[in-house]
Order: sequence, then structure tokens, then C-alpha cells
Amino acid sequence: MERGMPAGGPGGPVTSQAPPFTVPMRYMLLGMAGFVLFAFDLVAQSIHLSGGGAFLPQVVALTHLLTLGSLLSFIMGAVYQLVTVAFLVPIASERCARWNFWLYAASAFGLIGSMAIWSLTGLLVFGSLATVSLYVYAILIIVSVSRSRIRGPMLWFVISAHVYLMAAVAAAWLMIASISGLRLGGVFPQLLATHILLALGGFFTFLVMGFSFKLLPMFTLSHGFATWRQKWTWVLAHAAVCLALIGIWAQRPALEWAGGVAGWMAFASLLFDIREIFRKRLRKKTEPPTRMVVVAAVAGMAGVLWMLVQLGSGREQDGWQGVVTFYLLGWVVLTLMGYAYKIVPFLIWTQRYSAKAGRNAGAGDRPGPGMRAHTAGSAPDAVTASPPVKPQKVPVIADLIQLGRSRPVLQSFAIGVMVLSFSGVARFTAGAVAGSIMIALSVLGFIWQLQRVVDPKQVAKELRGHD
Amino acid sequence: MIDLCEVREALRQNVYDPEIGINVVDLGLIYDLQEPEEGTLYVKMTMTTPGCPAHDSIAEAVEWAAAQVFGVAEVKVDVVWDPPWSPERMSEEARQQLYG
Repeated sequence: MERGMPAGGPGGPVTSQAPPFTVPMRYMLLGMAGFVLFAFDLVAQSIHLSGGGAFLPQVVALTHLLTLGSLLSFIMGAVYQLVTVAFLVPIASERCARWNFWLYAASAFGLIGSMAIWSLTGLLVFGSLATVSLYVYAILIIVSVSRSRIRGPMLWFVISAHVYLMAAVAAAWLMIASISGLRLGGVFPQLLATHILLALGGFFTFLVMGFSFKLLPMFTLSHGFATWRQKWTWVLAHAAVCLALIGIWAQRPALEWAGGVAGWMAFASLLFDIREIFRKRLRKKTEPPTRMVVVAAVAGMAGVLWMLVQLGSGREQDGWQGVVTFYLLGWVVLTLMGYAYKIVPFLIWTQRYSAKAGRNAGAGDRPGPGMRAHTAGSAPDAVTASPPVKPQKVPVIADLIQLGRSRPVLQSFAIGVMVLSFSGVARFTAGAVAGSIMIALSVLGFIWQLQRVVDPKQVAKELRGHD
Repeated sequence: MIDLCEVREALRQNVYDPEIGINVVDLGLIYDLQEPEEGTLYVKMTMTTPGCPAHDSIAEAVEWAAAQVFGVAEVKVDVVWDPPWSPERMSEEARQQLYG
């Protein structure tokens, strides 16, 4: 009997590396809750978002409610799930991932609260705890994927992202320490720029780019596309971060500008790859969330271009606030929203329906896995003697969510981002408020659609008593 | 004696790729069905991509659905990557569904 390369070892198809449902789901639910809080807080703070309110405590707290309270939390859950399927390795320590959730939730929200009331003690205590928690997460992921036999650009992107995360967190902790009295010789502006660069251009960008090389072909069923450009995207993205970093610390605007050019080229390379993936796709009808990921990549490229203009124009805080808002919401958040429309239903389907897949029969009419009458050497008479049954359809993932309805949500979010970003630069308060309301309504619509898939009552039962 | 056509039909009727919504037979994921010894069914299959998140559920669904066919006493599912899946393996119906 001719056999190919077995995937699951001899004797069966089992290759399961995925963590228990409760591990990624808790993080994702926290991220979704954080996103709802962000929507309300965004409207509440919208009046401060035009005209340089970026350093107000409540705006700093709002920014971190999005990045720490929502994005990072959701990403941690998604990454715990994705690394197991993309790299075919288990999480290095499931127990650690599970318990780290509570440390992360307490420290992140404690830190955000401390920012809102500007409590230096709170910033130091919760900031230190959040640093520990994020280091635990980053090390877990780096150790896990390093054990994988799958090599290539996706692995480089994921490892780089988590190294940048640790560096960004270190910069943040140093900022807190300097505010609390640690003498750092007046480098606070450089630390702030480093923190933003490493978090946005480093962690979020590398992670989204890396996983896009896996997720987009999967969602479009693309085959036979060229992958040679991926390594150059990785090199260019690193060049962008490193050049900009040197420019910030050496105070050489030319290097910052060179970093921006490299970043723009990294996005151009990514977009060529995405175009190639779409050209070779078998699913000709692309779903709205997947299309929006492409729009988000274009927004990322536009954000870098805006940064280059900003570097040349010499505009100060307002301009930078606009760039960061546009890049964060238009590239990072929009991409994650697009992927969340696919990842969350998959996770729910796996938990609730995968065990029923292939069993399109009424319960009790045919034997379940534990009741099989057909062992070696005996014909399964008991099975075939069952009366005919009316088949019950096991849903596929598309049955769990109507992805067509994501279109207005994602489109209004994208428009809101543009209105908010440009109004901030133009010091147009009414525009900033209108943009914030559009974004908030889109976020609430997005969460409403996801919670219908998740079903809070059922997920509460599934999570209860598992830690 | 296992009726391999009946097994194929059972898989066509019951086992779907949950993401694409097309059954595994029309997708061309089933490479080979054999009965190496009386009552034992050997299924050689693949996934559309290595690291497919639905890997386990599809493979287990194939095992379960095949086990329901008359004469099948034991099922052995082997998921292989060589040869890799390619779009040419899909049936005309599957292509129409995807391209539509």
C-alpha cells in the first residue's frame, strides 16, 4: 500500500495541538469587552481628540484601552490558537497561558485606570505587573514557535513581532520609571517615540503581516502563488524600524525618513503579495472582511506616506497624533476586525460543532463514538439495522455568521477613521466628534455581530470551572 | 466486503470542509479508499493546506462517517501532504460552487 507523508503519525489522524477552547476564548472575550469600553470612551473623549490632546491623562488611558485592553488581549487569544495550527506545535505551557490571563487582565485594566487618574503609584505597580505578563506571553510564543519544524518568513515575522513587543514594553516601563523619579537624562521624548514605533511598527505590524501570509490564502483558498517576496517584506520592515529607531536616538531626521521609505516599500511588497494571493484564489467571491484586510493594508501604506510628509513638514504634535491614529485604527484595527470575523466563528464552530461533523443523523439513531458496535472482525449489524433517519445538518462556519452584514460595519469604521484622523490634524472639533461617533457605532455593530456567534450565555457555561 | 462506492457516497453526503462548505469528495481531498483486509477500511486523504485549522475535525468526521457504512469494522485515516492537494482535484460541481 503506497503511503505519502503521514501528518499525524501512525494509526490515526490526530494532530491536535490546539489549546483548550477556554484559553484563547477568555483573551478574546476580554478584548471584545475592552473594545466596547473603548467605543463609549472614544465618544466621551472625542472633544479632546482635535487640537493636540494626546497627552491628557484621559486620552492616554483611551489609547491604552484600545491597545492593551482590546487589541493585545484579542491578539493574545488569537495567537494562542493560530500558532498551533500555523506552526503545528502546542503552546509551550498551556497552564502558564491560562494563569497569565488573570495577571494580564488585572494589570492592564489597573494600568489604564491609573493612567486615567494619573496615579504614579498605580502606573508603577500595574505597569510592572503588565510588563511581567506581556513578557510571559511573548516568551511563551517565542519558545513555542521555535520548536516548530516549519520555517520561513511567517516564523520570522512572528518571532520578530514578539521581540519588538518586549522592547516596546521595556520602553514603556522606562517611561513610567522616569515619570516616577528615575533619572534618565531627559530622554523621555525619545522613549515615547521608541515605544510607539516598536509597538505599532514593530509588534502589531509584524504580527499582522506574518499571519496574513497564512490567513489570506486560507480564506481565499489560494494556491500556487509566489512567496519569494515575503522575505524581502520582512527585511524592509526591519530596516524601517531599525533606521527610524537610530534616527530617533541619534536625532537624525534623514535616517527617520529613510526608515519611512523602507516602511513604505515593505507595505508595497506586502500589497504585491496580497495581489498575487488574490489572483491565484479559487474562491472567486471574496467575503467583505477579507476584502477589508486589503483596504487596511493600503491604509497602512498611506499611513507611512503620511508619516513621511509629517517628517518633511515639521508639524508637531497634531500631525503626529493624526498619523498614529490613522495607522493604528486604519491598518492595525481594521485588519484585526476583518480577521476576527473569520477567527471567532471558527473557534466557536470547533468548540460546538466539530464533534458532530460527519454525523448528519439524529442523535440516538446511530451509535456515537463511544457506542461503536463495529469492532474488528464483526460486521456492524447493529448500525445498519437502525431505521432510516431524517438527516440533521451540522452547520458549516458560514452558517454561524452572515458575513455580508460586516460590509456596512467595516466601511463606516473606515470612513470614521479618516474623518477622525483628518479632523484631529485640522483641529476641527465637530469632525473629530462625528468621526468618533462613527467609529464607536461601527465597533458596537461589530461586537453585536460577534456576540451573536459567541452567545454569551452558552460561552459562560463553557468557560465556567475550567481554570 | 466493503462497498467503496458507498463509502465515497457517505463521505460526499456527510463530511464538509467547514470553512468552504464543500464536501471532501468533491473537493478532491480523498486520495484513496482501500480494504486491505476484511472489514478494515483505509482512507488516504489530504487537506487543502498544511496547517489547516479544521484538520482534526475533518479527519475525525471522515473516520466517523466511513464507519457507518455497511461492512466497515475498522477505519484507518491517513492524512498525507504528498502529493499536495491542487485545485485540479476538485470536481466540476465544486469548481462551479467556488467560482460562482
